[in-house]
Amino acid sequence: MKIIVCIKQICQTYAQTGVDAETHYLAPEDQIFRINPYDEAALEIALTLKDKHPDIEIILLILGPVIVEDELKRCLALGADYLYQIEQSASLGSQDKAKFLARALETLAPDLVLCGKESMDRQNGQVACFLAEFLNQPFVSAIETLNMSNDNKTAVVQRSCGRGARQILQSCLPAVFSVDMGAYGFRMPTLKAQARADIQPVHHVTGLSDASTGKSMVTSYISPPCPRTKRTLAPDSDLASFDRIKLLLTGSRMKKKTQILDGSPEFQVTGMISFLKEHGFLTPAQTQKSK
Amino acid sequence: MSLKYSLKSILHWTIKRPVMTVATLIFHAGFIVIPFFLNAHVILLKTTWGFGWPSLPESVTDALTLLVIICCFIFLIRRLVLRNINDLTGASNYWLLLLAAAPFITGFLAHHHTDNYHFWLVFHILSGEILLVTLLLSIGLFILRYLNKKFNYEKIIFHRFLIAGLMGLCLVITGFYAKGPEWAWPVGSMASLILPRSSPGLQFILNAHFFLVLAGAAVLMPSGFLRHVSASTINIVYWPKRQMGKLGTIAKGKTGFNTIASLSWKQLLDAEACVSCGKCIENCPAVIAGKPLYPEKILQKIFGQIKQGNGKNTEGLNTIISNDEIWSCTTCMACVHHCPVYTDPVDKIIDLRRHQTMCENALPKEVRPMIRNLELFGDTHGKGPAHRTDWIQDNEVAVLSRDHFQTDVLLWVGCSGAFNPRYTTVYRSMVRILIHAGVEFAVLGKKERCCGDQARRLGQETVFNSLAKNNIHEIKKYTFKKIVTLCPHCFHSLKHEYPDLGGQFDVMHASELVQSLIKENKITPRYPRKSLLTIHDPCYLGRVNKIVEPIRKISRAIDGIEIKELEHRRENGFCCGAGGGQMWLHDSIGRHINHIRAEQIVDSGADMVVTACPYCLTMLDDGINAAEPKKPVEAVDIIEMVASSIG
Ligand code: SF4
Ligand code: SF4
Repeated sequence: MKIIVCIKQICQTYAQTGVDAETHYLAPEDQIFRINPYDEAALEIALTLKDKHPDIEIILLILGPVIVEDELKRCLALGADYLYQIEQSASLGSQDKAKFLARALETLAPDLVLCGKESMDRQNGQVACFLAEFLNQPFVSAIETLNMSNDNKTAVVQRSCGRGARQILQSCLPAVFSVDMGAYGFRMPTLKAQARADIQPVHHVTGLSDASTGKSMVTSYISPPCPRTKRTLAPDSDLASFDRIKLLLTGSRMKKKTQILDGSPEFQVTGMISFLKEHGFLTPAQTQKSK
Repeated sequence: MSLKYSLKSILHWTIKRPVMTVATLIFHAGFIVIPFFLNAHVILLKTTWGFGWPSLPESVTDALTLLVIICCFIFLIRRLVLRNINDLTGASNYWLLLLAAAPFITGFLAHHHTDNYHFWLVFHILSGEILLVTLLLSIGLFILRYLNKKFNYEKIIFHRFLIAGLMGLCLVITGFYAKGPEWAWPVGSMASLILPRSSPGLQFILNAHFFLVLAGAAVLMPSGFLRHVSASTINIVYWPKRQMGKLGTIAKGKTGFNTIASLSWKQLLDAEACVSCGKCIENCPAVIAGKPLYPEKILQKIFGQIKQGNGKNTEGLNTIISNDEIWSCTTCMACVHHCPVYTDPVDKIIDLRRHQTMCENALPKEVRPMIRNLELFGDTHGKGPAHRTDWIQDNEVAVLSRDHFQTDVLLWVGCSGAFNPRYTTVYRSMVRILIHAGVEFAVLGKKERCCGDQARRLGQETVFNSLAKNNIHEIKKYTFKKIVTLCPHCFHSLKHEYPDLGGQFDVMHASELVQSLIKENKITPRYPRKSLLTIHDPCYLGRVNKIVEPIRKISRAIDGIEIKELEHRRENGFCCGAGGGQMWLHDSIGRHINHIRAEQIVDSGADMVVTACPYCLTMLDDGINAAEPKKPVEAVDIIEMVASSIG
């Protein structure tokens, strides 16, 4: 059985101690390069499976140049078998990344693809679902445990749905799962494995040069409306005291225009798209392009 | 062997245990001098072999012999009378004493022509011969063991070598009875000059006695005292070359050990030299707190494997030494300090840990986040180098950089100083003292990394190496006179362990610096502080690096301070329980070591305990809180105390 773990090398900015406004007050020490911890959690899931079934083959797949070689080697030392790299130097959006990955995955033909739930730097959390879409495979997000059936045809996963709630799902394979931090384990490489990993070559996925890099996704940044939409200097003295205090707190008497969408996911998505269109967030041209 | 160290050690013990030390010295001196320089021996040598050397006057050797005999009696009485020594004494110890004393007693009696000159003379010659042969055998056996590590100690030696040797000896002895001088070796031929006229009854007694003693020696030889005669001696001679608590680097690709095959000869020697006296057990904080660790047993278990080892024995030591044992050690070095034959159980424990960590992947789960933090961020707290200078707040602390590369004192902060909120205040106190004294100092700032001590003592050599190399590289960029640090663990690593990796620095502990500043009148403690104070000596400061006086001298320099010493103090301090990575390990078996120490402190009645280590401070704070004393006891760092009294 072949499992592919998609790895993203990130730059974690954990402090802002610089003095230079140009670099957003970042000093060189404020950042460390590491592997996205969610991806490490994904690797952990694969390794736990490998502990149980030693014949599993784990492949690490990176997109773009090797940045943190030590950490990648460490992943190999932990028990991954191969490291594949898709050579690509342009900076890409989630969708394009997923496109590249999907093509590579088609040639590698894995039984299971694991990704981190999101990356710690961008926090888009989209690559995995795009990937499933392009591969036309089932997708479960934010899983924390994974159990394989005996015939390796189905997997039972537990996913976290926030606020402590858990969901247990069964999925047929091959599939794409994204992994949440709940699966993170502090595995340590042994010295021998590390030495073996240090001399392992990086394999290249070739024949992807025709992949389109044209921008197919447009990102528009919309800032949410501030709760204080209207500045009221003094509350209207005609009002009752309760309303006046409320007015001071909320800033206005504007009613919240919230609309809660119920129903099946498909229905909700259609509702959302029509809402966006209605309010001019989506122009018809954009809708066309992304299709 | 360094002469300075030997003299110092002799002086130290003469003051502490005068009778025993003097007796031991006289005994060993007499043991070597008398046989070689006795008038009678030299004359005999001249008549039989035709050469000789000057001898000592009769009166001198006579008096010396008497002294040696008295010393033997002192040893005997000590073994019989002192309870704790008596408990540890086995038959073998008495045999050794008898074996050593017999030639002197019989020789003395013979020389003074008491009732039966011939009887005593023969007795003297025989007992001397037995002593010599057993000594030679024990050393030969020992050398054989080290020529071939995989020697099947028990079987081969015991059955073949030993028996053959003894048979040969019997032949020599009986030979000179039958045939006279031409059969025997020097000692025998000397005896045969006098022997022919001995009566049959005497000969029977001689034979019977001889074989009894011989049989006894044969039985005791491999397992008993004679092992330590050679092993311990070499160990003691070798000891001054080692720095206590300094761990060796590992060879490339090596990962500690799990089978005896990968022990170094020094470590084998240690295991062999242990005489099971139990002093380490009496003083080990882990044992006292009821943890499953016994330092002596670690050595004995390793020795057990050595005895069985026949090259094919690759059974892992982890089958006989449990993980609980090796992860209970705080590397406080109490066992090493108290061992009379200078063995070191700790480097074995660390090597076992190294194997568990780097080979078996069995590092306890609870410390892994800390190790990962060290890998990613370079500090034990996982805050990252960017926050390394946060502790400075608004103090004026110079940070070394390309433009500012020169300073007198490089203040080493360490992870505790930079991130432990309790200890950052201590470092700020240090800064105040340094500014007050006008010392030019600077810190490495964001370039500093953890010294790696904790990782190393948990067996993570790779992490230690990368941290240490990084630090050495950074430190070497700047010029300074000395490094000063407040943390004894950083101090120990920088001073003793970095040189192995190419970082030779002049390192000083802050208490030493502050003491010298007070001495030079650069700072004067002005404000008296009324308190009854007791001192907790950090293991890596007091015991390992022998820095005990500065804390006391500083305390005495402050008016109103009265020192009440604890029972376990100075080099004999009691561990706080945090060393050796215990700070990050779960302490689930037995009692907490810091609670025991805190109780000792509370019981002393002091209202303040002074220490000089971030770990000790945390552990004592916790321990004192847990002990819920009626009278509050405050745990402070010596630096804080000075800073508050200089205003
Ligand atoms: S170093 Fe301390 S804790 Fe470890 S075995 Fe020796 S005495 Fe016990
Ligand atoms: S290690 Fe040293 S102190 Fe401990 S029992 Fe052996 S000889 Fe005695």
